[in-house]
Amino acid sequence: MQTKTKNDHVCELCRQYYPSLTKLAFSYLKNMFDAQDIVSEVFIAYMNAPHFDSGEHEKAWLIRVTINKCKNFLRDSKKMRPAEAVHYQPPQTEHIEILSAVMSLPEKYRLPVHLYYYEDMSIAEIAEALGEKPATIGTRLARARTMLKNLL
Amino acid sequence: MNNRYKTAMQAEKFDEKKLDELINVLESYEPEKESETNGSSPEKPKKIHLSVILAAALAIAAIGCTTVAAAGESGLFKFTKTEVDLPPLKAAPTVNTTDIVLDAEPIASISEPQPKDAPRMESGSFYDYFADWKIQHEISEDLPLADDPYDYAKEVCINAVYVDTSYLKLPPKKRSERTADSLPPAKTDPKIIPQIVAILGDGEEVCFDIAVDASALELPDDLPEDAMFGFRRTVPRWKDSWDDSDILLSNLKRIPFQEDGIYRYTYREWHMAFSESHSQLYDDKRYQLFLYDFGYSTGDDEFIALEEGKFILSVDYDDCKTAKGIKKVSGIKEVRGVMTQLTLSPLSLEIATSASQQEERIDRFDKQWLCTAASPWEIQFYLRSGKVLGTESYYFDTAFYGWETSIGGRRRRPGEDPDMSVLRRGFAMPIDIDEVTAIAVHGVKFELEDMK
Repeated sequence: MQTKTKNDHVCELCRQYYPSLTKLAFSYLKNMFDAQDIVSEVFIAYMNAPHFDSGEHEKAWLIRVTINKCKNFLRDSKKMRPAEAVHYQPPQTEHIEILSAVMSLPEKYRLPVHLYYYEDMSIAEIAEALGEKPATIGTRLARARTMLKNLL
Repeated sequence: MNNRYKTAMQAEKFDEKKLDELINVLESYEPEKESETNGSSPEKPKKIHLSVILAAALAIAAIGCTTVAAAGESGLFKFTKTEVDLPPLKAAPTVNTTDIVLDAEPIASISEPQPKDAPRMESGSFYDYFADWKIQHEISEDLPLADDPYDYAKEVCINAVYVDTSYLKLPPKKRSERTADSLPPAKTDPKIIPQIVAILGDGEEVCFDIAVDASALELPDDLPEDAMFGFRRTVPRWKDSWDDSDILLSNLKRIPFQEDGIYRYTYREWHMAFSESHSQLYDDKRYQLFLYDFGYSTGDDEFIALEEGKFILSVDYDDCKTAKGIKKVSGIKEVRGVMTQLTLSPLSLEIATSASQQEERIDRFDKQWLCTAASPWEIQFYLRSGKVLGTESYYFDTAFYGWETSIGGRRRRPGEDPDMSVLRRGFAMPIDIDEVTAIAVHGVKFELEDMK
């Protein structure tokens, strides 16, 4: 693939997926500023990624790398700012209640909830992205829903 | 039905100026040159400090991003399904050769014996080799809560897969060839032996069933309890590099089963070469799958290689293009108050249920807040041999509108479903449907009939 073509392709991907990946990183980091930095790194990394034969692999790659970079980010900044100590300040929206509730969930539940309910990913896709068994993801979703039900 | 979480998350705004800056950087970014050596190991990309990139981008004027915002909020996944008239099922899929190559050195012929410590897969006894594999019940650490709001709350979910290779289509006369071809080269004596044991395809994608004999591998004493075994990365032939070593086991899904050092994986590939209409575009007659470094990873994503090397599994494209030209369908029965019908094909089981009845079963909480829920399904396959395959609970999405989850978890939007009165779900399971006589869903047994 020629450089020009790849640049165009990545720019197109960026326009298409930047908002969703940013929301994914945000759900992980609870901080939009950091989330945007992470997603920028993801697309820079993608410039050197191999050609993907299918859009599904491409999307899976983007999601997986975003999650990995979020993990690394939190790990690197753990001493300064433990992830769960970040208090989410929700915008004043009509659905503030549900967003605050989801953001209050532990990370292991928050991420599957976001991928399932925002990205419309299946349990199999989430399991692959997070490196977990589908049954584990299903159980975490069930537990998360129970927690949300109690919160809401 | 409104998904309030999605609506709320969409209301979270990001700095669009940053997006513009990134686009500008990407437009002028020069990717690193790909390795000129085909067999070279993947290298991580150079780290470029983001602040440098963004600082440079500040000099470039921002551009409008109305289109970007509009596209972004539409979500990541937009899948469509094309109905294809599949050709008749070919003879059982065959694998002519399976090569294992270390250091990318081609092997003219493989005839050396296995390491003494490794179990042999003798000619003609391939099925027997796996015959003793047994049901492994692994109780999930996170059992469903007792007060779970929906109907399946008090069922114990069992994560297990009954691996029974008797359903794998392996032409007998090819077994010995493959087994012989799968022997490792004597000079290197790798301690793992990966091989393709079955291939199934549906004209659009192909599924490889891969077994890895790692019984000769010495495991470290301090092996973490959560160690997940697999390859560092799995790359089809055109992806002979990978830029992020954190991507472990990508596309190589571990079936949660291993015994006596035998690990079992499935690998799925979507590639136009497997399509009947596009296959002629590919001159290369062989499909190659590269597996790098066998080892384990833990929850921290750290990968520890136990056997380093590059393993190449190679098969003919023609062997990958066995189409599922046949189906088996069941009659309509009531399962837990919902009218249900099953359609079985070699790569998937489709469960069609009444949308209206299904909706009645969805918890009010889901309707109000999240619209969908995930719940386990109990499915068993009754084989002609008398065995029952599958005792675990499969998780499906119990959306009450027209989602369709097909092989690999792909979905269709409700608006694309021509029949909104029926919910259709599918899941992947490479299976010889000739051997399946009936399927039970939540204990209700469906007899299957051939569909022509």
